[in-house]
Amino acid sequence: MEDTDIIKEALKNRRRLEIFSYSLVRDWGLAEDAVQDALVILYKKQGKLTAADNIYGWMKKIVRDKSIDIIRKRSKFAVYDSSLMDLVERSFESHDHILQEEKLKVMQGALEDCMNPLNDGDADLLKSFYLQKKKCETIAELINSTVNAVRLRLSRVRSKLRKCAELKMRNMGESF
Amino acid sequence: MRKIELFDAYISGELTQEQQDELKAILSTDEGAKDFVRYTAETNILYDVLKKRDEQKAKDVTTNPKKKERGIHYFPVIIAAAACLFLAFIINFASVEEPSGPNIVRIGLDESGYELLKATTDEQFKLIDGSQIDVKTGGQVKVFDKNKISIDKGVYSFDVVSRVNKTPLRIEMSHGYLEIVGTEFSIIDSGDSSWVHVTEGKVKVVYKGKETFLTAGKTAEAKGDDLILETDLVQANPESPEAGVDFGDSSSKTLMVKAWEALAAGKNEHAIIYSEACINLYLENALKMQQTLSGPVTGQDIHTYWALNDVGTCMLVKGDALQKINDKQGAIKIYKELVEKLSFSQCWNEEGFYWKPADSAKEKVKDLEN
Repeated sequence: MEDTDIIKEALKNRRRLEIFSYSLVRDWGLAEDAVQDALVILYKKQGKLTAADNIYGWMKKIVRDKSIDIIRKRSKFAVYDSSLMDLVERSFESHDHILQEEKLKVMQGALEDCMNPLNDGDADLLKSFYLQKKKCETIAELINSTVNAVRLRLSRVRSKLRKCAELKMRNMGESF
Repeated sequence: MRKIELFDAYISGELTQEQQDELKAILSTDEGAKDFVRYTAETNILYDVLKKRDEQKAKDVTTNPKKKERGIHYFPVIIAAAACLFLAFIINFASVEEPSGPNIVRIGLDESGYELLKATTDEQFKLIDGSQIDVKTGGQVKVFDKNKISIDKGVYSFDVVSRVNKTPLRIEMSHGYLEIVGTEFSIIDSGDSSWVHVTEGKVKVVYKGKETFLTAGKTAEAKGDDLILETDLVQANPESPEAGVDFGDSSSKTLMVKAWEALAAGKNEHAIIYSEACINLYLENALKMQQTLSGPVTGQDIHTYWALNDVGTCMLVKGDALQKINDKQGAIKIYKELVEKLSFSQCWNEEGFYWKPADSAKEKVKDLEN
């Protein structure tokens, strides 16, 4: 395997790695940074890695370390629960197959279709929470509601989207 | 609480202690773990879809601004606003030269297509003169004009078309800049340093008043106050103390472990290099952690004081390595610094307990001074 192939192999798994990093750092921008840093390390290691090396596994380990570093730096010296982080990591070890690029593409198509019929209120709620990263408390204040009601509504919208996407995927012969 | 609500609370950092325990219980089951991975993947897609929609909305607004401003009742307001802006311009900016700012062009388009370029992964772009840029890990390239570009954090490969007898291409990095007449080279810009490797031709590297020419096979790194020629220092001289040093992911833990290992293997120079890197990079964090404490930490909380523990240990390793190369004064100095500044640092012993590097340093100072 040539050096460029190794980089390409790593780049093919970029999204997968970002999702894994996100599960730890919980911020897409920071997850992107962790993967970017890991790619820089991989690029510097060119010539030292061979086809026999599991590039994805190697990158995942670096991304994991970078993500933990980010959590520690971001929270300065606030407590972070290492046992929870271990469980998160283990979840990704056991079910990594869910993150195969082909599957993600099919899921993306299905979810995009399912979002079209969402009403404005639900679409705005998703945007506030997942894109603008507003806390449930802030959203509750903005829409004159309670934190619990916001959480419940969010989870209902997500469940609705998941069911719809599952149906679409099944029709395409895909599933999780 | 439903699973999705718990996962939402986790990603937004709103988990209570009780919910955190509930989440742990869920993640301990195979089904719960699978649900969580799936939830995270869906969240990634949701984020992408929402972002795309948002960008499309913003684009629609900017491409059709008149639609929104149409209507005769807005006319006086627009006139008044324009007058105010004009007055503000006369008062505040008339005497100031308009900042030229970078003309940000999308590489590969003609010079009229000015736009910020955010390269996606593994893409190649061509400058107007045909020079090729291969953006290997994403990153941002700004093109000021045909002779000057700047790059953001990322990994790049360049193949610059010959500019003999013409103005060289200038590439500004986070640390220093390059001048190129025509060559092939790579740049890794990590934000903390800029690393350049030349494959073909010659590149001039300028950083903090220092400049050097790199020829094929040579590498330089601009970092801190230094412009380091790696090929000269390391590869060309295998006897150099830096030869064989690999900082790995440069985390405090990696550096501390590497320092210990080097010390145990009798590689005292390496032990000093690793421990110094650990101290230089993380001392600030370690000091802040020490300041928050009134005594040594116990239980699980010890791990949250990672910098304090790792840097304290690195100081002890550095002192031990200095002792071994007969630098007694250097060793005393670093041991004393450890005792004074990081007295609450702790180090794990494989026999199952924590010990304090500062206590050990205190004893060593006593022995050395006697």
